[in-house]
Amino acid sequence: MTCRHAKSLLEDYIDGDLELDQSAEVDSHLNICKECRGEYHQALRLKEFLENQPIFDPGEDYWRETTELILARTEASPSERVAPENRRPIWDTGRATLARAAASFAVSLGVLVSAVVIGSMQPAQIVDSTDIDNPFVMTASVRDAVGTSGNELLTAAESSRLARGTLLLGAPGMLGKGIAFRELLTSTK
Amino acid sequence: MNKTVPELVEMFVGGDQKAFAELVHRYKKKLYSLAYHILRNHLDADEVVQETFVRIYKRREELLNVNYFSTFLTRIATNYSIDLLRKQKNRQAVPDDTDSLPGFIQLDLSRRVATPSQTFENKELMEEIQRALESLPARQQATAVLHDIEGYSKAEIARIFDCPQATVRSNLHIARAKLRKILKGRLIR
Ligand SMILES: [Zn+2]
Repeated sequence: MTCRHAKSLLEDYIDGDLELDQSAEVDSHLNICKECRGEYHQALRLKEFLENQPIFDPGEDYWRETTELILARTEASPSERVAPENRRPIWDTGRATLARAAASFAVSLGVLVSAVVIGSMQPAQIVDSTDIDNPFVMTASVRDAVGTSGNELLTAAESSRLARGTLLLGAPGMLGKGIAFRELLTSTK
Repeated sequence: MNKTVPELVEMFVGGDQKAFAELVHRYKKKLYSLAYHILRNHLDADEVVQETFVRIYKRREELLNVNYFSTFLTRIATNYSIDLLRKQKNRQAVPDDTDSLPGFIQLDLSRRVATPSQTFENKELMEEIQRALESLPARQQATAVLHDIEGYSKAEIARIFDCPQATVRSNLHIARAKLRKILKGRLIR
């Protein structure tokens, strides 16, 4: 095994993602090659440090108050009912079938049209987000953003925080276009 | 409540507020830890925790498969964290003073067992690793946090991001290679 080959397998080796025979090959290379062994130990040390990153513990009072806050906010807000034909199962993480892709594209198109219509009322507030380097489209957070913005039980500050969500259009794995919807939402309140 | 998560989710979807409270109780620290490691400050982590639960509550009727509850919850939290992170990266970095507070200790998460002496001994390198992490693009940073700090598997992360597992793997390898490059000799014992 060359050093180049060994180094290309180091991460998978550390994660235990290699087949047994490949793992054994890396093993024996590390035994005879000081340079690769050095790299291996550095990678291992980084992993160790990452696994042991400390965290700020806000304390039991915080946990209790936050739980109460969440429950208070949710008790006051009923589940949002969506027309079945517009419903996109949020648990569904599989690749889009053609039919589902087409359906969700149609839904997206509808949202896009509404966004344009709403946007035309406040054109200056629309932000074209170019910071989305996400090559895959998440399950739409469209309703996350839209649904929460109209909740009168929220303070203005909360609403603006809620409206920070990014709106991504399109079917999973199909379209990569996205627009930021936050300012648009806060402005239409 | 001695119920399993799928049982609780089923009750929660049926409108049982106590089941929801129990789910909040079971997942809040895990979500906080994830958000904190991505965003590195308490206020943003708190916002992510609250928003995630409020959003899943509102969309509970779409949770057709109770086994995907955890994935979906983590997806909401991760997407929201990435969104806040991109905002953070776009504005001047706000210094977080939480690590100078006495509360800066390990959360009670059984997976993490670093002793306090280890933590202090390596504090400097920990901070350097943190700065290196922050220099990564949001998606790579989140992938590294999910896998290497929070311990999610590549398969879980692929479901969370709704992308192929190979993409998670390559994002992770790129992130680690960048970290090692930034930290260079600092990782040699
Ligand atoms: Zn070698």
